[in-house]
Amino acid sequence: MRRNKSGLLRMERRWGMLLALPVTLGLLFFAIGPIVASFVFSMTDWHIGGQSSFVGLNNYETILTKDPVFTKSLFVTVYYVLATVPVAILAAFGLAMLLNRKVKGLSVFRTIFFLPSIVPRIAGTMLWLWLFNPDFGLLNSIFEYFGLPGSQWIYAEETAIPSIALMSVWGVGNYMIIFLAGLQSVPTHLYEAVEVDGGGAWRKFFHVTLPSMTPTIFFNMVMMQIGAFQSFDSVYVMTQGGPNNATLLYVVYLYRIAFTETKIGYASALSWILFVIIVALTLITFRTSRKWVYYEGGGK
Amino acid sequence: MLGNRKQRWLSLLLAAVLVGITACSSKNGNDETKPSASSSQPTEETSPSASDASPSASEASESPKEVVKLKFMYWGSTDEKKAMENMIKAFNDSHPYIQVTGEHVPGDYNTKMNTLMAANELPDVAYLGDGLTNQWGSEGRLLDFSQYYGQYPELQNKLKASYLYTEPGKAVANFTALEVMVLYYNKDIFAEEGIPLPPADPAKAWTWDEFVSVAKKLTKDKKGKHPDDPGFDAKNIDTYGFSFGTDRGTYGPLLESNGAGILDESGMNYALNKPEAVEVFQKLQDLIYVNHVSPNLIQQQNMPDNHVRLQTRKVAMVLDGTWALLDLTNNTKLHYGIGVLPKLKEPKTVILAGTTVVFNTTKHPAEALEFYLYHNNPEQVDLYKTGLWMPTEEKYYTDEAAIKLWTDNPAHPPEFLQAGIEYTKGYAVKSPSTKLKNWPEINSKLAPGLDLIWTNKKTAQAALDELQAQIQPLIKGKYPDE
Amino acid sequence: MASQISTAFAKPQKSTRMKMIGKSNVFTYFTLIVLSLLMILPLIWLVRSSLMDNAQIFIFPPEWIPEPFRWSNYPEALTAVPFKRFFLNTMILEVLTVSGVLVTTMISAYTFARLRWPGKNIVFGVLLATGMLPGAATLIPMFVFWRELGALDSFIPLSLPSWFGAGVYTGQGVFAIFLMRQFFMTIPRELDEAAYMDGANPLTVLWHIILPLSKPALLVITVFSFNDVWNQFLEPTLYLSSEKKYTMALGLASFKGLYNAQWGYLMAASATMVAPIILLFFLAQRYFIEGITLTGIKG
Repeated sequence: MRRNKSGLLRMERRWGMLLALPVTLGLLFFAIGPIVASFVFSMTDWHIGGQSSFVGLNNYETILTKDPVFTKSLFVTVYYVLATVPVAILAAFGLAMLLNRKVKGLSVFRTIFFLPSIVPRIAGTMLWLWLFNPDFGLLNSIFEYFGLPGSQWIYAEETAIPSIALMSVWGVGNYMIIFLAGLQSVPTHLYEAVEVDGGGAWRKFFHVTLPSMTPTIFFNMVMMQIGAFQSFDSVYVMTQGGPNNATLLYVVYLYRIAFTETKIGYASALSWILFVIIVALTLITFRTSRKWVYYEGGGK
Repeated sequence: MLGNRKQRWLSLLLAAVLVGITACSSKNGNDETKPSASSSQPTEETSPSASDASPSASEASESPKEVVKLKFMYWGSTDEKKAMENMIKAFNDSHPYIQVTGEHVPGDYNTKMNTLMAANELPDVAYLGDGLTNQWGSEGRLLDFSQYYGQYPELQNKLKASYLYTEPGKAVANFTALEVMVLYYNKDIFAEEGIPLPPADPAKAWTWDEFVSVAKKLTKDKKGKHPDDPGFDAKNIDTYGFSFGTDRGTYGPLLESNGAGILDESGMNYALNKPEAVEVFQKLQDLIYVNHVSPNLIQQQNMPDNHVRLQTRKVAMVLDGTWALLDLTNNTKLHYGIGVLPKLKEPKTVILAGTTVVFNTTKHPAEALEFYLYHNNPEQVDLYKTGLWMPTEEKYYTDEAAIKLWTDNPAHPPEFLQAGIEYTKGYAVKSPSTKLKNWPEINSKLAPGLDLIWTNKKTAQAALDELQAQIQPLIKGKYPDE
Repeated sequence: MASQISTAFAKPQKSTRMKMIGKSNVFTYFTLIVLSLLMILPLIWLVRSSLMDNAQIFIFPPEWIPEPFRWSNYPEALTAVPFKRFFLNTMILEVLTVSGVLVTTMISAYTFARLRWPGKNIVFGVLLATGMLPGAATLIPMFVFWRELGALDSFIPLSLPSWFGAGVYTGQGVFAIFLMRQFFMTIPRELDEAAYMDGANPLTVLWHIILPLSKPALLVITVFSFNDVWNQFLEPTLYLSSEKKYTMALGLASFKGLYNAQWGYLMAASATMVAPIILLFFLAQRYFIEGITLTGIKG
């Protein structure tokens, strides 16, 4: 049956490019233009409403050498990413495993665990403001019940970021669902093979589930990384970056510069620096992924 | 072949959707393609009857004068929106040659406004925050009212403090409504404790020490003890004497009262570490950590709106703006009163409000100003009677009948005549922040630095000294007062 | 059988094993229920707040039972702004956007995952990179772009990009394509190659072989993009200016003014708005189970 390998390649090339056409057009029209524009902005001193002139790499120089707030917000963001991503991956994966079991009321549980991702952010934010309330909040009440000292949560510089990270982990429903869908796609014949060999649950997990899930884990890791670096709205509403800039995530700072201080040139330069950081990290993740991500399809 | 069929099906679907989108766009596109035409379409908010009066039909044949279309952008709750819609409708009905379309922006107003400014897609008339007003005013983006005083003399009838000048005599905006900072209190608590109510007469404003001693009498821990009592438990306070926000609404009036400022007289030097300014911040810090009459930053961030704080007796007195009258009055379980703020040297308060501006890009400045004068006219807008707004026009503070028009209602208790009207007329100045050039940038350095005071990490002197190096380079002077 | 680990096909053999499973199931239920309480809190919070007046919502410590029950919040909130209209608008936008996302995601993911052509990795890399620039950076250029096309105050800027793998903010569509690509890559390649040898073209393969295997992923993407559009706020604020085109998320925001907020209404409208999403998800997640069976047969 195997005939004409070059015909197959020709066919794939033709169809491959055809099917990539919408995305390519999308990139040309909706992405490249605005991205180039924002790069041009980043080399001007444009204030919204004011004149702008070309300043070369001045903005970049100022940011990297003379902007302590930039340094602080970058530090805060990296701290946040490190505090969030690993825990969130574990939490989402664990929840998905739990919800992939045959238990009664599975549909209800799945829906409940997805709730934090769909309840309007304003309700979620208000809820967490209460949970974090040092005087009456639920978290401190629980601590008190067990005789533990309470925390100031988002209101103290030291605990603010871990608290925000905790809140983010609570909202991992989206990633949990992706894991869940991934678990559903693990070929059952692989499990059967382990069964036949007399392997138990752990063996199944480490020899079938985990390897089969690596593409999904990889995906979630990359997206979480990108997402965590760009986190913005809950913090913007809850703390506006305070106290004393302790929760000034990078994009919160970016928004402040762009839309409160109207320095769009400077803000664009900030965006590009973040862009470079994320691209570099993602590249690293992709590079290492070759060592641990397993595709049954064998493709790259 | 199967494959071809699927392929055809997919491309058909794609085409169909594209056509759908384009069709629906051209429908929208018709009246929205050019900025100048963008206001032609009466939205629902101008109410159905406005479309009867819609210009397009009558324009060509009947009217000798061309109908001018204006776009007005604003923010606000649904109450405010309703009031604006009624006002716009009344305006359009009474001005057949001007048709105003209102655009109510729900949330994130600043981002939208900045984008519109960057894209040069501005409305004719709009609400604006004081920071952007100053900035865009000095960049020549806003209509200079002084050029139109001859044509519209009413433009000069507002209280002097309600104008924003970017250069001497060049008024680029007027506050949409006036709002000053006052003291609200729960009358019941005062009655129970047998303490005389806070003065409403600005001339009799409490001194700081009087104020602190009253606040101490009002503060009670779980066992009913006051801060100076032996065994007072500062960690378990049931009722706080006083709560305040940590922003310019609080320190602004107190700085003014103490003859201090964010900048010195010349407007070129940082002055928050001068003794009279430090005193203000130190006194506020002491309220929390020494006098124990106020909740700390964390506790107070976690407290509900001021009217609920008062109603639930979490707090006996609060510092808030006059806009709060709306919520305070609506809270039927609360018996509140209004007083003036305590004084340090002079009794003073500040005006903190958003502005309404006319953008220079408007093609119809005269008509825009006509609408401008109408849009916050107390005879047309009921937000004054509900307590949300105070008028900007001088006569509403001087003329008996005019005062009655907006204050003779439940949202304005009797003491408002002194603590509201007299206070505003004789003792209110523009918030120091409104007069500062580059305030948004200064504030984004200032606020995090002040957090150190509010969290008791540093004394006022130390924190304010430390801020000097960060803020001094951002200083660009002050805007003129007239 | 009901007490098994995800592999529904294993057969319990020994009684000791049964006991173990029973114990682990108790643990599962315990964990699920405890965590569920935390997860369901926001919904309870939302519903109880939606039945309170402004004053009671914020009382500390919080009260859980409204006193009195203000049912009127619902009719009042839903008539204070034209929610019927906003709902219709949102649904139109959903259809326009989600169908675009699905079609484009499927074909793009297929070509990136399973076809060999020159430049593939570059295009995919650039696509991925567009998701890494903060949306704030391209907000203004995008706005100017749509203004030049005369598309302001229409659904075009909000929906058209989804047909080209782009979102309303630069890079939004990347998520779905990348996710789908990852899923397609887990499907054995021999399946397509055999079909190609028989003369099938990639669309046939995509439709008949790959899609049936990817139902869970497709559902995920549907639910996510639906939810995205449902809650999207900033972009509709920017691009829509006539109220009759507003979406529900904008209607919701109009309860929060600069100086005051109608919290009871806000919560009532939120609760109303979140109900359809919960229902959608509840219905969709059932099909995840169907996904197993299909995979099982094919695998």
